[in-house]
Amino acid sequence: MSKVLMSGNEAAARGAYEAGVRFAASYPGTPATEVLENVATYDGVRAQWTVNEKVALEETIGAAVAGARALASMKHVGMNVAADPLFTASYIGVKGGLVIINADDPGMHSSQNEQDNRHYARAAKLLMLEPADSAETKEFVRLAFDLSEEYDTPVIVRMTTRISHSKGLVEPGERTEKEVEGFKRDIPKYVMLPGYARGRHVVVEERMKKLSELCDRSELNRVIPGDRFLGIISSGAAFQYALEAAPRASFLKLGIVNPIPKDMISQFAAYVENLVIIEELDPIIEEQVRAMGLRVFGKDLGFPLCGELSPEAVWNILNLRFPNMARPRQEVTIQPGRYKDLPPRPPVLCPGCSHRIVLSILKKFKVNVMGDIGCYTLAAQSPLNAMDSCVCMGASVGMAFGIEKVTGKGKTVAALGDSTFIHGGITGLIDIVYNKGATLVMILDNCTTAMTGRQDHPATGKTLQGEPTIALDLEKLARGIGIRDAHTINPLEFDRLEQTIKSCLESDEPSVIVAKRPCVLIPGQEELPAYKIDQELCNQCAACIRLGCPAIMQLGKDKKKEFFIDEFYCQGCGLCQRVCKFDAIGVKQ
Amino acid sequence: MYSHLPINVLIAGVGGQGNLIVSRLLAAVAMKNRVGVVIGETKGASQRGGPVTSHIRFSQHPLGPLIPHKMAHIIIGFEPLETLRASRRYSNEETTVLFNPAPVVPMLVAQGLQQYPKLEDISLELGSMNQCVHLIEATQLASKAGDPILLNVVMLGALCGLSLLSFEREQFVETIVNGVPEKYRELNRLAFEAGYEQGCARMP
Repeated sequence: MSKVLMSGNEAAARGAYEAGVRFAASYPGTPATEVLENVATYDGVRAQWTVNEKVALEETIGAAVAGARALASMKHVGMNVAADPLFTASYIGVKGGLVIINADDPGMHSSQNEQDNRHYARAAKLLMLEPADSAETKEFVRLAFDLSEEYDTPVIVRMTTRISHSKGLVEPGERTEKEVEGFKRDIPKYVMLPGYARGRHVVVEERMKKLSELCDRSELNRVIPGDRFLGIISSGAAFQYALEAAPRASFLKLGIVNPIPKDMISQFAAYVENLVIIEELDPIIEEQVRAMGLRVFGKDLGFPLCGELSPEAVWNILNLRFPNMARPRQEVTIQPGRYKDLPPRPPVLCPGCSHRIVLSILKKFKVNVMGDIGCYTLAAQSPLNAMDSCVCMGASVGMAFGIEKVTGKGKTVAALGDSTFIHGGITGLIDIVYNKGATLVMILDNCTTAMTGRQDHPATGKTLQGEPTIALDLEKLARGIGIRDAHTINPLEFDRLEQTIKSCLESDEPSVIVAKRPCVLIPGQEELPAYKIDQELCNQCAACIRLGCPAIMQLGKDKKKEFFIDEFYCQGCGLCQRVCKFDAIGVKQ
Repeated sequence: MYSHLPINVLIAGVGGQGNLIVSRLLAAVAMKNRVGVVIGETKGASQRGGPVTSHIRFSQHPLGPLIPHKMAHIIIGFEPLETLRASRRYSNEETTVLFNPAPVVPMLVAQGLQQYPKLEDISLELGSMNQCVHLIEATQLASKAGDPILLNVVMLGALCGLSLLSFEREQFVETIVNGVPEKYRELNRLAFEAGYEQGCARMP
């Protein structure tokens, strides 16, 4: 087959397909989302969105012990949710290959932290591969399934945003079908009672020894001999940057980042005069190499602990320390023009987004809004400033209740999306009921998982493949767990929404308001007429501007300023009309 | 014409302007010429109106997906402010810039809190940093061709018209025609032609 341009995520999916994967499960999360979306397009693979990463991993562990090759994919913070099954999956092993695609997000392009998940591989004693481009990704994922079965262990393939979202040429291969043997009882292997688990821990440690030996002879780790003055150990995107910055240097390119190939590293260290380790985020390889007693440069040269590495950061540091090894680069001095700082362009809530409606109405009550993970977190930015926290999926619920416990009721609410609520908010809500709370939980239900590109979830009534399924009713769920004060309201019913929030805040009982209206980006919705500002009535109070709607703009300055609504962008939600005290805003005639 | 590999092409725009499509089409043209290609994207939460840059690197040997600072040969700007932002980072005195002068106003500017740079200042600064700057009325031409959204295809046409790369015009046309659904083909072809003509007219 001829080569095809694929993103890292597409290549990971292709690799899994070629390896004969039968089952794949995931929860959407940037930058990993497209792995499952792509694996779902192949025949012979059952793929599904699950409620969260923990469930996804548990399902794939099940599929694997039944003898099928299975794939779980998640973003780095998803691994935190899946960590509980992960650590014990390491003990019970697999039967069919189990591969976990883990996508870290150095630079936090779309995440709340930039944890380095190589720590998980070390902590859970698992083999971790790290590809440096799309072609390697496909090969590594394919190979990961073989290694998983050979060593009876789950295998993690670590991606980063840069690898997941970059595209390179990949040569597709044929699929190898693997029969599913079915689950066979093996109590000492699969039932982790302490008595059995003690035995399995020994197995895990022996397996790590064997994996270390594999590591030292694997072709996934390769030496690229060059000038002996400088030897660089690196992996993933950092390797690409280093190779471009210092092409004459010697390299030890790691494809396996846990365990590390100690013999190979010792030999490489003996071969070169200066040994440098270039890795994104934490000094994980560096610390291990230092522990081997080798003299090595790493973060001490200035490679950052924070943020994503870049080609120029790597070049700058190498050029400073090893100028004869860095590729020459002409210095370009730039004279900035009249504008020293250019206006930034942060992402914003879409025009007509219901999150803006709910959160701006909530603002009137001067309550603390414990927020969560989703588009609505953007409302924390100026000018809305309508969200007070964002920690992890579902944290809004527990945090709001915690604040209530120590400061009293009616002052704090939780606000989280529909998908986020199902992912991680339900258990917190049960706890509010159980522990006699009076918290108001606002579910900002836009009928999709919007931030990651509109994936279906249990309350949308559709599977990944678009097939109809039983739709979870969020209000009924709330009632079912003991919330008596539960409502479903279309946020366009501004007054009803405001009155209901008021009564819920005054109540001594816990309450749930499902503010339900589909995301404006879901195609095929009713088009509402655009609004317009009557310049004669406009008092220029800027109340409309403070909604942070991209359709509302201010032209000119001071006395010459003028507000207007761009009818091309306006989605007709009418929120600006509601906040205008001068009746200057109405539907365009 | 840039003919010595590797060649670095940077596309700067705003979420929704169609960077991804253009980088995919350019890659397809390169592959027809048996030129290797790698594409990097920096986008973040671009779906919500953030900046997007696509790094397209033509090379016969594997390269990292990001163009190092000051090493772009060609910058294609879909939006003036983003063109300037990208040029400050990636231009050198041999860079050619083509840009669409239609602004997409960022939130802080829309709220009157910050100023959008004047177009003539943007042009001036771009001119001082680059070898050559071509203003392509892409949004306007795309509207004339039938839909302003096709500004990206107009820009691709202009790139081809300017003969900055050694790929043949027919290969571009063929790739675009095969790369889009049938009902949009004619529209895309018109947009490409409009850009191509303007590109040819701007040839030094």
